[in-house]
Amino acid sequence: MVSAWYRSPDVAFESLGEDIHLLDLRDLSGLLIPRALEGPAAVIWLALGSEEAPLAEETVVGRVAEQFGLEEEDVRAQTVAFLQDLADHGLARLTGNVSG
Amino acid sequence: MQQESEYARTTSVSLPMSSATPLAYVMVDRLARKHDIRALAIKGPVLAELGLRPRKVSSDADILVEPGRIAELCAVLEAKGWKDREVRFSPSILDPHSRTLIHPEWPCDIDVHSYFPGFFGSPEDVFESLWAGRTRVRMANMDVQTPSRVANGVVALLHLKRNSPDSNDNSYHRALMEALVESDGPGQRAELEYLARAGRFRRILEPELRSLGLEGSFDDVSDRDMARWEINRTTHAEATTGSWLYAIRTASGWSKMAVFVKAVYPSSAELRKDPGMEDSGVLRLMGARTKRLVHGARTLPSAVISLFRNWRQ
Repeated sequence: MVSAWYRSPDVAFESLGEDIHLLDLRDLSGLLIPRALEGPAAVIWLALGSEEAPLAEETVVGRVAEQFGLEEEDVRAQTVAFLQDLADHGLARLTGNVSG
Repeated sequence: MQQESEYARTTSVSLPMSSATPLAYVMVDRLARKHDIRALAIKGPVLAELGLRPRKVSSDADILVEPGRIAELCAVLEAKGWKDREVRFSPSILDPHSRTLIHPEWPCDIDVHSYFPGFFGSPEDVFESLWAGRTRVRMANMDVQTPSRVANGVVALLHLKRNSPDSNDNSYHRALMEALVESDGPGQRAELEYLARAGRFRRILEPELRSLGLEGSFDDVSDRDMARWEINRTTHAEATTGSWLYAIRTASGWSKMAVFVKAVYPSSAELRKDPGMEDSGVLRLMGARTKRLVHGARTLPSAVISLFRNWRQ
């Protein structure tokens, strides 16, 4: 078993060019203002799996590396740190029940 | 690859319309559900998702809400910073049917409809019939509740016919009809029959419904309602000239004069509600009044012809 990531199902998002605009609908008592993810943040967001099909961390890292034409080792630390940042904000979730 | 210092930044100025509108649809859907208010997404990207029109950017999210609860849904949105758009008063030939909400952080509007013009059935019956056949479309990667595909087609056709004097020559009308004809079958016809019974739009959409296989009587709209519909439809291109004429024509006694004065000489406060006119001085307001009068004089003949032709009927 390996850890796998997916986007929170309560976050709506639209992609336009290289940007992602998302609306966090987990807490409907807030003001509900959309936010933007740009550059690497947008690439990592799109590399995440869905709740139905979470993706192993290695796969996410591989996708991001491929997108930037870099080696996985070059992007791993930053990608994992950003995934954790997303998770801290509740926008991404980690599950441990996916086979690698 | 450089690391973003924060997971996301707010997008108060750069949120593009093409992203904002689907996000607004999803937001209203979720808020309505949370408050147990029945609401359906209509028009715009909903039609594209259902294969009824090509994808294009929409500047507003149109929502049809159960008629008795429009104020409640708008209040929920007001709590999120959405406010009624202030617009200069102009009379309606068809009954007022929606509220337009705007937000400083969002580039799109939200149009909340309590009923949709062209349906002459009671707003409650119309909503119930649309709600009964509802489905879901995917928008901004979430599910949004919407009337069935064919019901969305009817809404789109009514919208098209309301705003266009020659809608049958319109390429969008042709594409819409092609899409509906393609899915023609006993199921679609039965649903159209059901919708038309509650919605009373047979007379408005007679050629389209015949093309889609419906038969029987198409006389479900009164002559008076039909005249209002036709005056609105045929004077739409003349902006508000037709609706002011209609208001003067239908006003009684001395109020005719009051409506006339309002039509030709709107107050400064009213004129300042126009886009870009907020801080206008006396000279600019005079210019705007003159422009209105010139436009009104230019469009008056065709509006008069339309009004009297349909009034006589």
